[in-house]
This record gives sequence, structure tokens and C-alpha cells, in this order.
Amino acid sequence: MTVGLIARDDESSEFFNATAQNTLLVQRCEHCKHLQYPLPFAASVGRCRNCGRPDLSWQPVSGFGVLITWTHLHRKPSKAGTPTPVTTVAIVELDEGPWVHTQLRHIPETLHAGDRVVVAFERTAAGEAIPVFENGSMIRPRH
Amino acid sequence: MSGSTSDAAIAGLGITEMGKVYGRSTTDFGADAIIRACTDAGLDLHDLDGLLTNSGLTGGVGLWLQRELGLRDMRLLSEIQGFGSSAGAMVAMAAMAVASGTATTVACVFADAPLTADRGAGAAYAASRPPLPTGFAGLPDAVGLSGANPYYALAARRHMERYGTTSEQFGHIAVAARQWATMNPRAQMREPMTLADHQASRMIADPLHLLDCCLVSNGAIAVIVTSAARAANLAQPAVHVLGWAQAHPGYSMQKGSDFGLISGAAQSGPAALKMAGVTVDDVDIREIYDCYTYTTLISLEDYGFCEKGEGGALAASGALAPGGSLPTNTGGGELSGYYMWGMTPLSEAVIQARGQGGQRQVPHHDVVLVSGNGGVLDYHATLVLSPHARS
Repeated sequence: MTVGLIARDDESSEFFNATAQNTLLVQRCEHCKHLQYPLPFAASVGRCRNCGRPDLSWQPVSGFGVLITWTHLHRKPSKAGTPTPVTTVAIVELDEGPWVHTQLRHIPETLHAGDRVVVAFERTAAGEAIPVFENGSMIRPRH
Repeated sequence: MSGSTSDAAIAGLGITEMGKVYGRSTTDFGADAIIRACTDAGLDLHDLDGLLTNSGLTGGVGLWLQRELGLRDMRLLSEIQGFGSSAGAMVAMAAMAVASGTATTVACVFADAPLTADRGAGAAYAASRPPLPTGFAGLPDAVGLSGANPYYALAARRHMERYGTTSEQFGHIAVAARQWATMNPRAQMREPMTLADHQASRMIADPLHLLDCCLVSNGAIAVIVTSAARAANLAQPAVHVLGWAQAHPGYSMQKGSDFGLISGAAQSGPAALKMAGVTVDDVDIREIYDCYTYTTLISLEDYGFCEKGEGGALAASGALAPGGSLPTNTGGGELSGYYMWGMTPLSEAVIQARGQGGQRQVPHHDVVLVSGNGGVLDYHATLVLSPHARS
């Protein structure tokens, strides 16, 4: 489990204000009500990926979802032969619909598509809190 | 089989030295490939009136190749970028230019030289990182998603979960590619390889082992597209461009998205075959973009060489290997041959359609399907080639 540093910019400041408060936000289109996770491209200006319009606002989500797919990333072994950490990255489908490219932590030995997961926030000393997901089968959504 | 006067054919193929070739620039490779393709066709360099370029990672070929080669009075000149679908897109555009009279003789070139003597293939294809990732653009790196390997692993795992596809089945694709490569003098990996070797190879991004992943190569490949009538009188057997299509799914990446399950081949395959006037059962040889073993598998399913979800069983049956019923990636593909984006499948298709495959030549080569795939299954192009003019 390791996450990297991210510095906020104008477009992401509200999102990272929320992650600092343990809340996950998604973008909501004011025009067609489409929900989406922000597109991770530098060139993206934040338009609705359903209707193309730029009128997006932020909306909190429950943080619950299901596992769509995952991969355990293995680093090149060290020359000394000591074990290297394995990072598990995944696509999670939020109960509200959007997919999130994320990292998993505190996961069981075996994973299956459809496993319930819940958001958590991984903090680094110098960077923003980053949404990750962990086993959510034991936790009920709050209403 | 006279064909239409507006039909196009591939008349020349130029392949430079390939692989761990250091000290040459991408422009130099690209220029070399174009000259080789002209020589191969029996054309003079100045017969070219069209040039389409496609740059790999290192961005070293482009419009300036015209000046580099002293090409005058060009009627078609453009840089094309569709990643792994570029080769198919270039040949299709060249064929349309020939058919419309826009140009008569079009060179299509891909060149790349990401390898340097002091770093490995993995480093060459890892995304270059900004010093301090900023905003949403930093999220993938921050969670560990860097380069193509993890994204394709996510796609492959989803296929496995949905259809029961296994790592061993992916392994059969790697082994078949290597069997073909042992008979290709141009292939970078010609040592025999077993399924056990595949399974024992280092895990990169579970489920993808090292031997599920393509090579990285320095080099360039060019083809010359001209009219079928003219190609018939040139130095090489004409390879007719009977059909083409593109498909770019634009995965929604939300509830209901087909990412990892269905590729653009499901759209571009039937469209290209229809244009060619053939069916999937008529295809003798499949040259499939194989950045990963998984890519071959999902493409074969989507073209209709088996039912959806049966790609693993098809691979394990041995059908794709030499002597099998569905010869596929007959030069070793990108897994064991060389990695020139969509020019890898295209170049081997031209060789096979001409009947110049030597020891690895497939006896029946009347219809050759060429599949290009780019991004993370985002961009797709299909060509249907044949030594015979449209009937």
C-alpha cells in the first residue's frame, strides 16, 4: 500500500478539500444530471462525458461500490533478492454508477468481481488525501 | 478478376534493421524504411506523391521527412496518430487517396527508437512523470497506474472474471507466437519457449507475466500504396487492399461499460470484411496486434473466429500455432517478433499475402486480416488484404 503525492490545482481544490474530510465527491452535470469521476488527463477541462456541456458541480457519494477488476503490480525484484512490495490497483464501480481507478488496501487473499468495497482515504505527509478502497462487505451504508 | 480501376494495392514493403539497434535517430530509421519500400516496389523515390507518417513514442518522424528525402510536388502529406490503429488508418487513407485521384503513390511510414543502450524496455515505455503531479492528472500515478501494463492487466482480469479465461490460456498465445517467430529471421525472440516458461516468467501486473507482454523495438517500417493496375506491373506481387474499417469504442467507464470485454474489432471486423466482400470464414491468416497475449485473445473473439468468451479455449486448442487451423501472427507478432505498433501485423500480412514467408509461409493466403489496436483498447483499425484483385 503506497500512494504518491498530488498537489492540488484550481480545478481539483474542492475535491481534495472533501477527501481531507473523508468525503468522496463526483462531478454532476447540471444539464443532464450525469455523474462522473474526474478525468485524469492534464488536457481535460471538465466537461460532462454524457452531453459535453461544461456545467459541472460536485456531489458527495456514499463511498460504497463493487470491484470491477484489479491487478497486483509487482516491482522488479531487488538484486539482493529481498521481497518487493505488491500494490493492488483496481477499477471500482460506485453504487451511483461512475467507475474509479483506484488502489485497494486491507484486502482479503482472494478477490472476485462484484466484491463490496468502501472508500478510505490515504494520506501522505506532503500531499493530498487520496481515495482508495477496502473491503466493504462488513460495513453497511449509512442512510 | 480484373478489379476496379480505383482499387488500391500495397506495392512495396521496407523494413529496417530492428530491435536493439542503437545510435540511429527515428528520422534516419523512417527515411531508410521509405527508401527500402521504394526499392522493394521497383519505384524511384521521386515517384512518391504522397507521404503519411506515424510517430511512435519518440516523435521522430513527421512532415519534415519530405524535406529530408527531397520529395517535391507532394499531393498528400500528413502526420497520422491513432497509436496502434495508425497503420490501418494510414493504409486506408492512402487507398482512398489513390481511389479518388488525390495521389498516385503514397508511402506510409512508422518509426520509433525508444530503446537506448543504457536502459531497459520497461523504462522506455513507462510514462514520463511530471516532477510533482498536479490535480486529477496526478491520480493515476498516485495510485500506481503508470504505463500500459496495469491498464491491460485490468482489462485481462475482467475478461478472466467474466469468462473464466486463465493465465495458461494466455500462455498458449505466447507459445504459439514464439513457435512462429522461430521461423522468422527478423524476429527478436527466436529461442523456443514452453508454457512452463511462460508460467515461470516474472509477474509484471497480475495476471500478466513478462511473457504476456510485447517487446520494445527500435526501427521503422514503410509500405507503398498505389493503384492495383500500376502495382500489377511493379517488382513485387501486388497485395490488394480489399477492405478497411476503424472502430473507437469510447468506453463509458461507468456502470454497463464493456471495457475489457469487447474491443473495437467487434465493429471494425465485420465492416472491413463486408467491404472486402468476404466473410470471417474466408480469412486464411490473422495478423493481430498483440501488445499483450490478452489483446490477441479478445480480438480473435471480437472478429468472430470463436464465440465471445471462448478465446481462451481457442488458444489452448493449438489452432493459432504453426500447423493449426487458424494460423495467427505468423511472424511472431509483437510478442516475439518486433514491436512496430500496427506495422508489425501489417508487414507480416504483406509478406504472407505475397507468398514470401519462407519456412513459415501459410499455404493458403488468399485473404489476410490485419488488426490494429491502440490506447487501452481505445482505438481499432482493420484491413483485409489479398494477393487477388477484388472479384
